[in-house]
Amino acid sequence: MTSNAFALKSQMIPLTVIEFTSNDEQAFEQQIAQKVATSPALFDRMPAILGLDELEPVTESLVQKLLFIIRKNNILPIALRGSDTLQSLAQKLDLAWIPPGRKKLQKQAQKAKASIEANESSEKSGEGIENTPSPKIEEAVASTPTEQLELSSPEASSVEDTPEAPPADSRSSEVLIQNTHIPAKVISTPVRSGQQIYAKDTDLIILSQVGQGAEVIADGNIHIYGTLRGRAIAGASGNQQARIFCQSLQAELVSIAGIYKVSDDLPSDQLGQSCQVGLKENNLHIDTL
Amino acid sequence: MAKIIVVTSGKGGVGKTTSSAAISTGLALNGHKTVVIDFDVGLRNLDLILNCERRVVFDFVQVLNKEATLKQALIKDKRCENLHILAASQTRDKDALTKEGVGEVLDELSKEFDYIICDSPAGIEHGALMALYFADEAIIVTNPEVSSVRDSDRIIGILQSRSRKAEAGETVKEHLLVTRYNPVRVEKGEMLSVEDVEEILAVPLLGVIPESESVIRNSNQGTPVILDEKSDAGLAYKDMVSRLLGEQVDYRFLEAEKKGFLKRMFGG
Repeated sequence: MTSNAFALKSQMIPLTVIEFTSNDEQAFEQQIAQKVATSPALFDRMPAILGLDELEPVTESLVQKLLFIIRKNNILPIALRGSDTLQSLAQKLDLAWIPPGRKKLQKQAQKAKASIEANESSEKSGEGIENTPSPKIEEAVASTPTEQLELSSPEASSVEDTPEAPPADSRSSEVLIQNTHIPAKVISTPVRSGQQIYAKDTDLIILSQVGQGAEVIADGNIHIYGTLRGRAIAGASGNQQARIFCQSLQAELVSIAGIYKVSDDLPSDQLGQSCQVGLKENNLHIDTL
Repeated sequence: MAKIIVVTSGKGGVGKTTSSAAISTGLALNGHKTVVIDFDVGLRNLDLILNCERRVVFDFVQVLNKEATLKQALIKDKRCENLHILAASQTRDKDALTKEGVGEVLDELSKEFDYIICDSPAGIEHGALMALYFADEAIIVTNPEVSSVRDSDRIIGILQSRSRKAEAGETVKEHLLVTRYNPVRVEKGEMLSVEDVEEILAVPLLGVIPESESVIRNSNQGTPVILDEKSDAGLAYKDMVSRLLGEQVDYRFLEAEKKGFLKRMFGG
């Protein structure tokens, strides 16, 4: 009997959707560059879908320009999402086509409301980045959007407030980061010497201690409700916002996004204290809680 | 069904075999049919401590290989009729132990005995894994010093991930046994205290055995120290066995002698 050379598996993989709320490609170019600058590692070769549901009209030249900007920022476009008129364009550009998202109706309603308030004169611009990852790692059972982070630039709300302003000044940028939630990994027993726990793409919560010679790693934050005697590595895939929290800091090593301190480098007055570890200007910063 | 208890530590020389001999003798003295198995194939010691080295005809590996029956290989202790010993082979190595073989032997022993004590070899390799794989409970033997404590932490991690119970999603019940405890040195800060060890390992304490000359003397004479009524270590082992059987027994020998008042003043 010959074994199968491959197996087809349907898998849910988290992907980022760049949800366009405006066809102003200059505003997009500027804002996406700012966004990428905040954490280049995160965006580097990141596959992304262009959410074009809300743009009208979607012309080929616009899509070409947007793709150019996205690629320039080292993001890897893989598909177009929007009405079926995009199908042929997607084919031409050698990208996949994905039918409109289920949020479209809701968004349309919002947009309608906003445009009425804006006296239909101001052109809404800006972009939204929407993460719509789905359950992916085996243990992640379900995913529901829970976190909505609005990173608005100062003029973000101007569109509603200054309906009479000329279109050029009333451009609003609204970056909507919507993280679909991957449940944190929770460990309730002590992590022993030689054990290694990795919370992929999520936070790690340990309701016990981490022994000397043990290693706890997370792509997100690490919370330890006990003594940390081993190694803790947060933001393992480059998230510089990640932090480590522990009730008693006696760590062999703490690291955030690759920047680390070993036991010898930890300030002695903070040893044994309840602490949080974070990054400040590329330096590990330890604060007593 | 017998209860299978592994006596293990990770680190060598902390008192696993001494403790295995004492615990199995203690359980037998309490009227439980007990068998103690030496898993330290190639470096067998248990027979010396239990003074049956001249009566070993067949060993554990021969039983595994079906070269002898269990009946032939089990050695009955002379002092204690409820205690049986299954010696390790001195001429083989740990690879002679297989999961299937060990499982079969333990199943057969389970029918006849109340307690099966597995005396684990040091290390975290095959021999130690075989000794702990089938365990229902584990006694973690630790000396109050950092390297021993760290190795114990390691072996507990292995117990929780690679034992049969762990594979079935259950937990092996763990007990902490601190041996070679010297309260005088603890007070001087030369040794970890029981509280320190307990805190680092986060395993419930079962017993504390004081460092005692009587342990070596008894080992050399081939008497389990638990039979020595004059030895503080023997008494501490007795207390420990009582606790293992579910009794509440106060801890003794935790504080340096003649220092009760001062200790209360300064020691806390």
